[in-house]
Amino acid sequence: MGLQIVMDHTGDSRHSFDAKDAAGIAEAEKRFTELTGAGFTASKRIGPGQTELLRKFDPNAEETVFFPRLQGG
Amino acid sequence: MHFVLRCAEHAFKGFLAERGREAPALLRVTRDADPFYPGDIRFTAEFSQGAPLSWRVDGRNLRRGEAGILLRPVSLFEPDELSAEISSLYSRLFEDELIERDLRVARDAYIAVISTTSDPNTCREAGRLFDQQQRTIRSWHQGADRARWHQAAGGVQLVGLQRPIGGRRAEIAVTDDVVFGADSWSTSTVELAGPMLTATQQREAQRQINARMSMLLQHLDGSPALINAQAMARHYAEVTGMGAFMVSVDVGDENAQKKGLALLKEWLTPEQWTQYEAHRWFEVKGGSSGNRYRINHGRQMNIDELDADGRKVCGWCFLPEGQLVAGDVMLAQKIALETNEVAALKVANRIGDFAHYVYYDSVRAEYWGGARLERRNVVVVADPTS
Repeated sequence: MGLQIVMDHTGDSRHSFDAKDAAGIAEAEKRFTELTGAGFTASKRIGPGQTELLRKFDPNAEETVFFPRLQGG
Repeated sequence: MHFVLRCAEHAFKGFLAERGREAPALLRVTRDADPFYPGDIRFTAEFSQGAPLSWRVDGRNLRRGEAGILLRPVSLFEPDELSAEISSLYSRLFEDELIERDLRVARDAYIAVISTTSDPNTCREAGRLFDQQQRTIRSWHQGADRARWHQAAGGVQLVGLQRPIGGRRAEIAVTDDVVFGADSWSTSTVELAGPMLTATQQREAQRQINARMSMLLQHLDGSPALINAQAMARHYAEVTGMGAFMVSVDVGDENAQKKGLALLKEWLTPEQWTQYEAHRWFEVKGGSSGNRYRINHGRQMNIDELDADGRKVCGWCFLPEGQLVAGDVMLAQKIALETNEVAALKVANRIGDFAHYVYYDSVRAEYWGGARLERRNVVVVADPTS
């Protein structure tokens, strides 16, 4: 199972998909493309506290977090 | 008073004439003491049609005969009264004066820096900041950034409260007020300035600050929120000689804040989470530079860059767009610093630059009536929530 976590004003929204289900993967990839296209950064967890930026959709990523475009504060 | 009348009349007539509408009659102008700023005066002009217009006049500067420069519509500070119409009027009436004033302050700050140091790096950095400030000021006054900031802030602009504490002054204000929008901080600042307070007075100051922050938060959205003093404030005080809190107000409801912290816990290393639980900060290592960063609990102005000995070098401020809760923001900051440090710092504002403080300080000093405070007259109270 893969999990996409999208940060939002409620904390986050979570979307899970089955890595063996083509339709689920397609939907997850579509979400990835839409979010990153809108400026979100995608990062997958590769270990405890360890992350890696995702430039393209990785169907095997177990957990991916998305956060909006960064800005100076 | 005459100036206020003229402004109100001219503004409304001009606005309506542009739209082919008949100018309303000016019914009356009332004046009363501003409830948030003792010494300031609030004028309200009522017309035969349309919403009343309000201005706050800085009483101290009014006495100096500079009311024309410092007239600012109260409506900008109070979202309930803010309307596109009034905002438009404000822009046409005061924008030219304000942009000129902001640019002059920025230029003076730059000159102050280059005339007091021969360090080429400092001068170069001051020049870079001056350029950046000019761009920011122009951009802000042209409206795009301001509109975006208004939107991001949910329309909340300012709640300012001021009341003497033991004969000293305590002030709470959203910094956007102080810097005239030349900087887009939405972080609240709590400032204490005055002769060194006794421990009892400090506690009283903290109590009063807490009470005022509660009022501020109720005004913001009526929901509980976290208030966190930032360690940055101490560094700020060292550099500027001004006592200050940088208080970060969390957003969202309690559930959202809890979810944010839960997500943060899931994604931190065990060591980082242990640090956070103990200190409300955790350290990360820059993915490109290997530099140490301490991410304090908060949403803005909450990142410290540390040297090898753990001393603060400077602060950084960047965060994701939108109203994300503190836990989400801190996680985004961690990921950005660890995996894409260069890009993150490229958009970040650096805190700790001499020029920045001179600029900010000079504006604030003017805001306070021209009096500069001396370092020996500063007290920094560590944490208003403790």
